[in-house]
Amino acid sequence: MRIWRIVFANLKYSKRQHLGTSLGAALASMILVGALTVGDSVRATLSYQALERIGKITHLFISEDGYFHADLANRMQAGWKGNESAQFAPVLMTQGTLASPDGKVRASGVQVLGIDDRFFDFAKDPSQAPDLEQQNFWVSPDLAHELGVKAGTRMILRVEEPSLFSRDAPLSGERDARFVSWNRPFGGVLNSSQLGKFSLRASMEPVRTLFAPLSLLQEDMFVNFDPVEERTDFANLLLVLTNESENILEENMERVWTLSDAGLEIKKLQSDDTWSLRTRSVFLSDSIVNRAEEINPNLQGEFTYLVNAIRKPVRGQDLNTSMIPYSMVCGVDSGVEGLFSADWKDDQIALNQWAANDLNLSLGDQVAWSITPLENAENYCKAHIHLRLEKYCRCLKKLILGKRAIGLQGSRA
Amino acid sequence: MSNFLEIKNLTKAYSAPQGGSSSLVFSDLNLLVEAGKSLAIVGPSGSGKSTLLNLIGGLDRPTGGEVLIEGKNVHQQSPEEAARFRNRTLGFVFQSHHLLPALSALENVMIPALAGHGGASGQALQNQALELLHEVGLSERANHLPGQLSGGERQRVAVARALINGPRLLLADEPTGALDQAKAESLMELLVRLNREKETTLVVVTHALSLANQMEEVWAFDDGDLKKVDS
Repeated sequence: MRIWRIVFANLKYSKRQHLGTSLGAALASMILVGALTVGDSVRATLSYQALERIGKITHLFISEDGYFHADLANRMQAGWKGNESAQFAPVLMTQGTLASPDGKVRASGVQVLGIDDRFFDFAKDPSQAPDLEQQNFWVSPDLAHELGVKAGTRMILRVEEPSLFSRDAPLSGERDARFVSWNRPFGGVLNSSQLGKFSLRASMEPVRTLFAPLSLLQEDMFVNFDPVEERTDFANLLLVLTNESENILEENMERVWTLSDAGLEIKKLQSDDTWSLRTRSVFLSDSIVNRAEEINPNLQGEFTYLVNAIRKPVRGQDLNTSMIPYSMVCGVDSGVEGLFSADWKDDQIALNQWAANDLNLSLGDQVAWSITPLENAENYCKAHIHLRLEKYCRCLKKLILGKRAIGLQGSRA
Repeated sequence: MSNFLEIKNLTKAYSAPQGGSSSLVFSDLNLLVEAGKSLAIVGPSGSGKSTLLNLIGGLDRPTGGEVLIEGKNVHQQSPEEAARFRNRTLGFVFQSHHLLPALSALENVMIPALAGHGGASGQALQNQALELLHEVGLSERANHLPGQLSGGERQRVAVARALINGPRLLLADEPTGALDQAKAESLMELLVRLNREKETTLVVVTHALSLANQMEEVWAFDDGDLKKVDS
């Protein structure tokens, strides 16, 4: 008898147990191998799809605060300092509705990208870039499938005009939204090698994107956006292709970036040594305020708002008294600029002398004024407010009161 | 006759877990067994009978003292030497037969010879195993699996297995513990007969005094001490 006789005899004797164990092990192995294979497959698919969506893009600058000047890409390219080369492309990203002129075809919630030729430098195959000079609309494969239209068919794109301030702001009401539309021929489909599936969404949903020449969108979308400089060359994405680190990128951006890119302006006031930080977006974002306070902790916030009417209330005939229409109210902190004493109350108000004379007001008189309530924020203010005139103010052309009186202490201004 | 087994001042204590006081099983045991003798060790449960047998067989190490078999200290050998010593010199019979259920009685008997410490092999080994089965009265059942044998028959196969390498000392730990009275007596008669015929020194641990009386000497554990019982 040999040792193998014992082995085989035991295998034979316990064949049911061994068979069960073997089947269990095989089943467990199949499950594990299957799970790993499926996991690898899913991971590879997701990775492939993600790479299809971002192409060669290595970094991305997104304007948190609205829009920046598209020539930032040119300035970054010209002023680039780094061991590795870098390429930049401005993109205007928004949402819109696409429809055929007869209304039979319609797609809403479409991602609209304003691009120029530099966009295709980030595609897998830049040589397949379409001719954007023709001012056509191009779409992603998923959107083309959804629309089912042929090249050359005219399409109408409707996009909301950019607001001067964030849509998240209470003043932003959809009833005031204005739209811009274009009627252009459908140029064709941009496939994945042409970065036609570009998307920043981590989602498995179809990529429904319309591509249009950047200049075409800019000229119409931003016609009312910058009344001071009358510029329209805005974008809100900056694509980057480089092997450099984020630190180098940020260093280059800090060197090139200007306050104007962020829509900010620092201006010296005429009256004294005070400087003001203003934004074209109406509201300063928290990040900008925080940064400004880091630089100068003595900053004073100010909120200025439109007043519909200021009047002196007379009992029984409020509506027939004289009034000052469409003036401005300015909310400041107590004690600012030497206007108010520390015990200044929220029901006290200061008017300039002209307004007081016009309304025949004396110190201690009641002043009534009305403002338009903030959209969807009725709790933030009252439409009609009665305050007591406490002080004449010569230096200001605005009505002055404590910030809390208009209930806007939550808004940074 | 010369002393085959010599136990000198043998002490065994089990250390308590987590640093508690150790538990003394027995201390300073002394015992002399001549070659070819049969010896029974009796005592109540927990008195140290099996512990003593394990120490004699080299399956456990003593706290103090020594066990000499043919003048050789059992516990001062390398693991390889100890394995060879146990395989060639000692035979074990336990309360449970521990037969491999997949092998026949004949194959079970041959298993100890497969350890490769010398001795018979091949056809000679098979013949030797058959002869042993014949001696324990199971030549007709050589090709039966353990599951096809009765309890007494299985224990007889275990005895034959313990003898396959021609041990000079057979250690039996409660070999009749799982058997009824008739089969127990039959097995003890077998052990005694083999002891006489083969002159194999036999040490049997049992708590049944009636079975122990069939041995030439009976030693009993009494409160940690080992005393010879007058026949």
